[in-house]
Amino acid sequence: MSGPFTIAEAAKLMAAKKLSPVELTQSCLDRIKALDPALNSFLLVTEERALTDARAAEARKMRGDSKGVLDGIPIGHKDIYNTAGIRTTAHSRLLIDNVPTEDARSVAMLTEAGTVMMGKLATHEFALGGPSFDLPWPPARNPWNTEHFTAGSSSGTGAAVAAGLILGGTGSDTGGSIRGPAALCGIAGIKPTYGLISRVGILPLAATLDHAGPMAWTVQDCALLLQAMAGHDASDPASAAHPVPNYAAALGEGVKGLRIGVIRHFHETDNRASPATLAGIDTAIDVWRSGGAEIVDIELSPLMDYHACGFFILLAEAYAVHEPWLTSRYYEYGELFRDRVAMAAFTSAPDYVQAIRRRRELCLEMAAAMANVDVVVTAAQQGEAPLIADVPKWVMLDKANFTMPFNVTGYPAMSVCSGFGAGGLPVAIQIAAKPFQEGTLLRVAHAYEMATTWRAKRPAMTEVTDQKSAFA
Amino acid sequence: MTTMTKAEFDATVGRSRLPLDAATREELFGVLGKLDAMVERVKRPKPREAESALIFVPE
Repeated sequence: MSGPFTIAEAAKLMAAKKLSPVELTQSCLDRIKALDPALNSFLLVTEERALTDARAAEARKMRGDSKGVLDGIPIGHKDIYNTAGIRTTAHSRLLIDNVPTEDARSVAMLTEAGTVMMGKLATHEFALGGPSFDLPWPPARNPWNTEHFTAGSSSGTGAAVAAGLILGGTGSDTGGSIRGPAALCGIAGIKPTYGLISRVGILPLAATLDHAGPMAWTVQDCALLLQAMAGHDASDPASAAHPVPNYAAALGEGVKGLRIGVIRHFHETDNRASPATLAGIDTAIDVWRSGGAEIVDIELSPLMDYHACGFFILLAEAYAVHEPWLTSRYYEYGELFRDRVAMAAFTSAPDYVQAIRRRRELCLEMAAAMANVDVVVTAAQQGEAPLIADVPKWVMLDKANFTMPFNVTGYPAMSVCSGFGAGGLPVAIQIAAKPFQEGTLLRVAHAYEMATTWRAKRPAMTEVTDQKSAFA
Repeated sequence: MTTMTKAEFDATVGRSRLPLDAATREELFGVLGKLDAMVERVKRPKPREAESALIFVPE
């Protein structure tokens, strides 16, 4: 057996009975044992559960009763997703002994689809405070170079998927926490439309900005995972009763006839991206144009306006969630989480109202700008991953991020690897579509991915001696 | 540089009931100016279309 496999490849091999779920799962467990001590992507490896899930999937396949393409696929869950009977910590000392009694809705849906649960993945503390070195577990590291940052907060999922320890996983995205790690770890990640995936059982950060979504090596794999996670849940007040189409079905249809908007000022002037990132965007535009798409420039408010609006709402809503513990157990949080969220104490209720009003303005602006295009493109991150030791504590106050506009508006957006920078680490483009147009978004991203060779290159990692194991 | 005085800052910390030590107070006070700049971005005048509203879809 060779590998790592994509989900689509593994599913095809398993359907042809050339690969067994148990064999694949054991291979991932072996890889975790060999490589994860250098990555810290897992907080907990649920080896026994994984093998039990894999044996059940194998039995189903043997009797011709497969649950579909995800049956027997090893995945991991960001450790803010509740898992029944399995520790869920948010990477925080405050929840170090927290064992939920129920699965998050999306965990249950992925389990129902036959996935194999490999364990719980590193996150920035409560999906915000990181990279932190003062928590019970170290931060995840980038498999392309372990001295470098993964971005966050779905850091463990980004690292584990890139290193081939799992074939896919869950993330959450309040200001870019799926698309950031996907970009810096060189994988694909989609933040779907607000309300497409239930957040029930996922620890909240900021309710009006929180999105759940999948991360995987390819766009196609994201489509397969999204299919299992999407759907109405009356228990989530934000959940949309919107039909879920077959996301994989239209992937190969190309981009002919589509209109693609370029938010050029975001990545050329508002927060100028690195040369490699800019080159990746130009290449993508060339690919789509040669595929028959029409390319147009569109202009929005400055990127910092979107960032400030989203960041301000995030702070206020996160503070509201954590206030009881912030006032009673402040120093049990890691420094980055507690001090960042504490900033909300120095803002006012009228400020929050103004941010909500500004958000409405920005939503109207985005809707108008996208009325005549199918998708828009900009950078996913400014450039390659910085050194993990060099990430500033107050980075969110200094630089506008490229991902926040689509949390503020709730529009679906995804990050796709678009090459490598001068330091040899990945760079990425970001594509966004109109609400509930994930099919078009995935189709455009897939067309780009298939026209490039970036998916052929995996991080070159070598086995490391076990320093600290996350095996239960 | 924030427009909040140190005395106003300390009063706000007291009102928040956050148990901040001296070093944390000093650091947070030092970055308040950056937060103020972000707040200014969301405070400029807005049209009526920007008002929050309850929206009902008639059955």
